[in-house]
Amino acid sequence: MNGFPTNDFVALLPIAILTVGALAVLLSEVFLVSGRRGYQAAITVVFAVAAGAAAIARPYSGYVFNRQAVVDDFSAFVTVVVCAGLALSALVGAGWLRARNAERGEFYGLALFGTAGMALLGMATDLLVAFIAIEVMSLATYSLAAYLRRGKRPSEAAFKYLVLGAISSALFLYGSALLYGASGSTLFGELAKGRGSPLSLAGLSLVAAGIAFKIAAVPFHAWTPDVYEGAPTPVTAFMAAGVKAAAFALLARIFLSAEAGTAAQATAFSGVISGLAVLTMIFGNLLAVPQRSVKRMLAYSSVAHAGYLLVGVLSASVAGVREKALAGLLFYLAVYAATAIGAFTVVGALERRSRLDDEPADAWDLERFAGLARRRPGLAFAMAVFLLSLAGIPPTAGFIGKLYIFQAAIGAQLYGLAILGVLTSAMGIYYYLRVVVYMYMRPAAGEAEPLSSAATSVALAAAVAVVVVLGLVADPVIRLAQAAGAILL
Amino acid sequence: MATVTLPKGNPRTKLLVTLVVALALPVILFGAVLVLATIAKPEPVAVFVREVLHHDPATWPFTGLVYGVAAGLLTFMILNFGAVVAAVTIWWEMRVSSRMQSRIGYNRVGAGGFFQWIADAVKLLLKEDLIPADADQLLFRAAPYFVFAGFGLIFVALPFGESVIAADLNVGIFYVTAVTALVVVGILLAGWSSNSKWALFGGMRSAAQVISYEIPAGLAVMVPILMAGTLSMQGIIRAQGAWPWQWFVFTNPAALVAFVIFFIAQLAESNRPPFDLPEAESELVAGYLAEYTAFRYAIFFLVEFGNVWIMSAIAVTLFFGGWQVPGVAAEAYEAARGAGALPAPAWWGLQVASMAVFFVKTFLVMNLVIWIRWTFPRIRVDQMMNLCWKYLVPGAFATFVATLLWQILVARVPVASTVSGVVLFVGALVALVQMLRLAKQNVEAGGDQVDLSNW
Amino acid sequence: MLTPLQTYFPIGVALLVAVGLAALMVALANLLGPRRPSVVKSTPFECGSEPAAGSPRERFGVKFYVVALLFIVFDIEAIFLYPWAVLLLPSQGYPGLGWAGFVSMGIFVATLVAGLVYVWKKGVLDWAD
Repeated sequence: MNGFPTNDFVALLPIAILTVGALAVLLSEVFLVSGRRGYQAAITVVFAVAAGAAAIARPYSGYVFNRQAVVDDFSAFVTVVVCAGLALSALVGAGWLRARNAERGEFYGLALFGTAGMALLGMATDLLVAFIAIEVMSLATYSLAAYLRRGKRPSEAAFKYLVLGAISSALFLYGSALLYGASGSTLFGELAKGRGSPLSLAGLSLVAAGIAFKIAAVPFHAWTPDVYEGAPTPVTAFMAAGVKAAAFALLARIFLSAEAGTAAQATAFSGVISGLAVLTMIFGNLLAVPQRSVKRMLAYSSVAHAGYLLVGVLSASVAGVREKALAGLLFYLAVYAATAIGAFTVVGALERRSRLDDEPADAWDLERFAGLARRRPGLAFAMAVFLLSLAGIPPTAGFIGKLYIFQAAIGAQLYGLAILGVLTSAMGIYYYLRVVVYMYMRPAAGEAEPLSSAATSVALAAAVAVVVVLGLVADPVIRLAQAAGAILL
Repeated sequence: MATVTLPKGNPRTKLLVTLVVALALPVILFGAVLVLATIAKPEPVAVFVREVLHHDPATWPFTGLVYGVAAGLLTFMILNFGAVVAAVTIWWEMRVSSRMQSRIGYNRVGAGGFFQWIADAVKLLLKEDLIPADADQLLFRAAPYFVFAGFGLIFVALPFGESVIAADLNVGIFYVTAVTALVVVGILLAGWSSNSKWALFGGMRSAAQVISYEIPAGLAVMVPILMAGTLSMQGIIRAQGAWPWQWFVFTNPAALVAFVIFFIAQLAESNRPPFDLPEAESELVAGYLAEYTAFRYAIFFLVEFGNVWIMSAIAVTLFFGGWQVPGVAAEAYEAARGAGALPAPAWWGLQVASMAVFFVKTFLVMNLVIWIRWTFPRIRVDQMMNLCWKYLVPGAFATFVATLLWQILVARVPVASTVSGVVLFVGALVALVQMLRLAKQNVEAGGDQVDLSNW
Repeated sequence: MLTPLQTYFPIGVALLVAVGLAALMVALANLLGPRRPSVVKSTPFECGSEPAAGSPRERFGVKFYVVALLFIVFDIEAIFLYPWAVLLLPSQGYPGLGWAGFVSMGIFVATLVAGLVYVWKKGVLDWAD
């Protein structure tokens, strides 16, 4: 008998917890006798918290599964972020779905499975493990996007997401094959071996393109507005928070592995990534400006934020500022997760509540926010906080995140990118504040009563707390993120 | 046809001719397969090239060609053997089923109607080959080839005897499972391309049925694999003993269950009654076969009956000790072979004995299949799906886990498998005797109702 | 010992021979059989009556697709089990996968069984309704 690889199994603890939770929710759904499903969101939150706690407690750190995965501060941070995103989304989803009489165990089960994939993605140090994790994550999110399959928009959104996601998977796999050809290994640690060869560059570019789909970087963003708009709003929140965090974790690991030990920004691959960053920042913000649908605007804003995060990834390749850049990246991801979930929650609460298969085009129109401050001051305040944070205005956490990333970019002598980032952020202020203007300075147009539920309020309060508290006292989390910057590749 | 034409010729001559052919055909086919299987190997080919053709086998460029010709001949003979076996199976099944239904059955062509299968083949050769106007021409034509290729490819991996196997693959049983799927592809193509509602329904039903039952079959196969620790067909047989209480089906209680699951699943996979829903004459006309005529139809028909033989042979391989001859140890074959370039006569004798054992066992299992056909009525679609997913799949999972535990037990307490083998074998014997006794009682109690006059 | 190519060679030959035999027979039947096509012969068979309107290749019960999906899930699982079953137990100096293999596959199979329970209770396996 071989020695029992305890460490391998212990390392998977958070993922195992999430999977068990998913199975528990799914099985409870089919054995359900009464129609009450209130406990399902509770189970989901409990398992998400347990998985996050397991990631923090971390009984074992280091490489597992023959260096194909790793448990380090970085992966723990990502796991905690996605678990928190899951918990918030589950709370939001509970209220939103119950109002539409569409609450089923499958929603929570799929979200738990997807989060398991995200957690694994944060740990992956092998292209194939990463691919499996991407698929686990994506299949769950594809299905979640189609969760309200009776409606036209969710089906359309899910189908677009599925087809483009399949393409991105194909790109990722093809790139992996090329990288295997170039370096003779699928381990991240060996990626640098093939550096300089056109094969390696092509492989890395294809892999990066595959990930760029997931993080919605221009020019691979085309699906984002349609999918974000068509998917059920809690799902959109979950995708914006979780998928982005996990995919950026993967991108950071791959990028840093490929660039290990090079002079800053000298390689063709960092050229590819900076190109992505430039395009994403410019077009993400430009396209967000004319949007009248707030949900669509937030989708483009998610594209724009991917651009700022790409700058963070780029700066991390410079030895001196790596910790700072990675800390900024992780902090930004955490804050963005809370902010995006919060903003989409408010959008979901204001959404026109009608039959499931009837989704009017103006469901998320700016007009619906008009006069919100008078009708529901709490909701309006929360939304204002999230929008200010997205715009990067102090004293919100979004400002601190941007600050760290742009400081790191300057430290890495990426002056052009830093300036572009600041300029495009300024452009963002216009379309974010426009919503605030509507909420506070326009008279109420409709009579529609916003949705309110206890679970949603809890989630909103938590998200506001995260954004405000981290904006005021960012240091503890920044220190944690900096510790996580000691990334293992 | 008002007058019935009586068979011409002297009945005694007919009997003689039939007997000669019925004995000579298997002898010739078996002999050819045995001889070719022995020489169609690289070493004998090398010897042949050196001794007969006077070339150095290592450098002569055509050694590979000679080997290819030998292997081609072997597979050609095995396929012929398969086709003949399938055809004779049809004859045998018709005879047995007519007895079961107290009717006469085949009795015109040759003694006991033995040559009926040849007559059928000739008749189908002379029929018009029709392709419906709206059929998908290419797929309609391609379907029989898929079916026949799937059928023929399985024969290559069947272990007929100790060293009589065309390709002893190390993934043997896996290979068999894989190429069986070609038959499904053919059936689905046939159903789809015919552009007939009956055919399409039959094809879809067949596909749903076959792929569903693939799962319990695949899981049940895992039991012998776990016990033998190999996927090779010969390896699985060698892991069993020759005596009945050393067969896998008896040495592990879970394997007995696994055999039952495997057997049912195989019945369903070869569309045999009571799982013949895809063809269900009374509801779907002939299912996916509805639009086929002439020899294309014959190919489907042949494969279907040949599959009965194949599934019996696989069951014998996996659970009933294959060709193992009682009293002959594994080393005995090697010892009898001798040192010469060609094996000694004793070795040939042992090979023939092992082939005979395999054939007899397969024949017995095959009769079980025929028996089941005339005993159970056809089941409904929902019953068919229920049986698979709600009984066989969980059951197969259970046997799989039980076998794991059993193997751990056997590793600690080796005597367990012997005990189980003896107990289960004796139990099976007792059950068999009891069943025969009951059958005898019923026949006697039935009096005139049971007509045994033409047996 | 046979090289892998030599082991698999008969399979290639068998494929050729099987297709060849079938082609030969079909060709023979074409040669020997009569050829008198007519409109009636080339219409689809529907129990002697005129074919009902419409192509048969229309929408099909979703059950067939669900069965196909289930098949893929469980068949892939069986494919994973095959090599695992061969390697699990120690043999001839090879140590076997040991408890690690046992536990890993246990988790895998347990997850799948949970999936089976789920689809079962969900009513996917009920063909009748």
